Amino acid sequence: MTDSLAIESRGLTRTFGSCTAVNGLELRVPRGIIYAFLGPNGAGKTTTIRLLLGLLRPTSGTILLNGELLTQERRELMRGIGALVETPSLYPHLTGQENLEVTRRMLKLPRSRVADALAVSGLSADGNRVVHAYSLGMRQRLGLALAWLGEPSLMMLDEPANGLDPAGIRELRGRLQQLAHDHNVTIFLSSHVLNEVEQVADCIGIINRGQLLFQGKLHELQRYQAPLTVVADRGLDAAALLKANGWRVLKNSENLLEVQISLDADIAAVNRCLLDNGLHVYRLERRQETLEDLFLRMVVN
Amino acid sequence: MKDLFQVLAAEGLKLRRTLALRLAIWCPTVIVLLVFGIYAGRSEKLGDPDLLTGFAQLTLTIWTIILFPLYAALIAALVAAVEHQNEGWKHLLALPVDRSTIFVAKWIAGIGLLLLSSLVLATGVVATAEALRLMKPTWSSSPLPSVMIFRGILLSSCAAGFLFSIQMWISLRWRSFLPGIVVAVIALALMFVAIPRGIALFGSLFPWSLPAMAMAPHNPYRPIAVGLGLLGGVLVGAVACWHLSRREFC
Repeated sequence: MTDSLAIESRGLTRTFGSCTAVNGLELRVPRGIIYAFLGPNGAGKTTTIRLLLGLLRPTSGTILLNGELLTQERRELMRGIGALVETPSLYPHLTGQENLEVTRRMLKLPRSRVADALAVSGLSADGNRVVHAYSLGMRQRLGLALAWLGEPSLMMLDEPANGLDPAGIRELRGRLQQLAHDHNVTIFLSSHVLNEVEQVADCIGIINRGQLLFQGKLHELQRYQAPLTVVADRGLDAAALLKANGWRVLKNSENLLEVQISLDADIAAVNRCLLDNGLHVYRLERRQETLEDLFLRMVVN
Repeated sequence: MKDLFQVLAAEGLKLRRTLALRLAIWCPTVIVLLVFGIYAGRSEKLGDPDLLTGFAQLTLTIWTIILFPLYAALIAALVAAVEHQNEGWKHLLALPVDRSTIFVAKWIAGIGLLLLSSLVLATGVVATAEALRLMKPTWSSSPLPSVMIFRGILLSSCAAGFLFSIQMWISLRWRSFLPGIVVAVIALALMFVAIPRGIALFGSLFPWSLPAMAMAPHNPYRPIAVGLGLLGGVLVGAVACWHLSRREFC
């Protein structure tokens, strides 16, 4: 199981004084997918990424990258990992090409990697300009080029769409999907742009106040979807009947009730239960929620 | 340490177009030209046979005693600032490169800049002394102890290792320029208080006075100053690299 995971954490905890930034995190990130790590500001996303990159030491717990235990001494584990943490770490007095060349030298990569990385990020024409003349979007693309420079098998990206225009975001989305699905690169990305995450992520993890609230495939979030609204002729009788059959009734009144369900098949089951017992069902409605709706409801609740 | 060469090559590239590199050339050049200007304005009738030696000594004294401690602090701060100001640590320390190698390379880069400035200083003194000789025909017989100049500057640079390692440690530990500059200013003040009072032992042990002690050719404490500067530089540098390698960078 561990071998099929690009990232695994066991009881990962990090405290800063009396503040617990990350609390018992059990991450399971399969290889070759796009894993979106979501959470409100201050939830612990960046702290988690810094722990995964070895920039911070865990207070307790362990981290495995590609099945190998991460420690301060085992720097070679970071080979094959590319990262972009918050803002890109660029030297504004150097050109785009020189910025990539600095990392290329340290990683002992072939010289051709610089031109390749510039081409992939669409900065070939601007490679000889100093970075302090770059726009925000260009800096972000150069930061992504830096993360990609070593052709890693695992990329950790913190807010990669920051500063990109819609065309740039779409291009990034396509690029990430291509890397994950065609080149088996695992992409661990944290983002606030939930509608973008919805389009690219294979799995998501939702963190709030240092704790993982949900981890799994997008469709598994269904069980957190909005309840089923039922309008029936005898609401109170309908509520009693459904409770007796094991359904969780969240709200009920004379004609209207809300029933907690997980799957679409449950809608038919609720309907059948009421009809079989002589009740008239006038309306069944389940509001389709976006990832944003689900996310907000999970972190607020 | 096996990646040291590659990391040094990267450090060298980072110094392109930086203020640190420009200062390494311009600071000693300005001092040399300043003293040159003073001597160029002197009357040609002065027949002091040691005039050019005096020119060299004045230049080296201004540089070593007054300027160098602050200059070394500034260079250390500027080398560290390349990463501090650009959030470079979170990228650098996440790379598959031994952290101690990264910090050793920073040290070597800083020492390289100090040696560059020493070379510029020595070359500048000799060149401007020759220019003075050409400008003032009556000074043509005044000897210029070029070997003494180069040796003095080299030994002074070696003796600067101790103070530079301390400054580098402070600059890499704190993002702000302030701690390093404050330490250098206080050290300079202590130096100006202690040495004129003839506290020679203090002068030969205090890191910030070692470059001056090593500069003077007839100073009996010269070997101690050079030895302590080198040994202290290596020891403090090693401890600092060890400490910084284990720090977390949030």
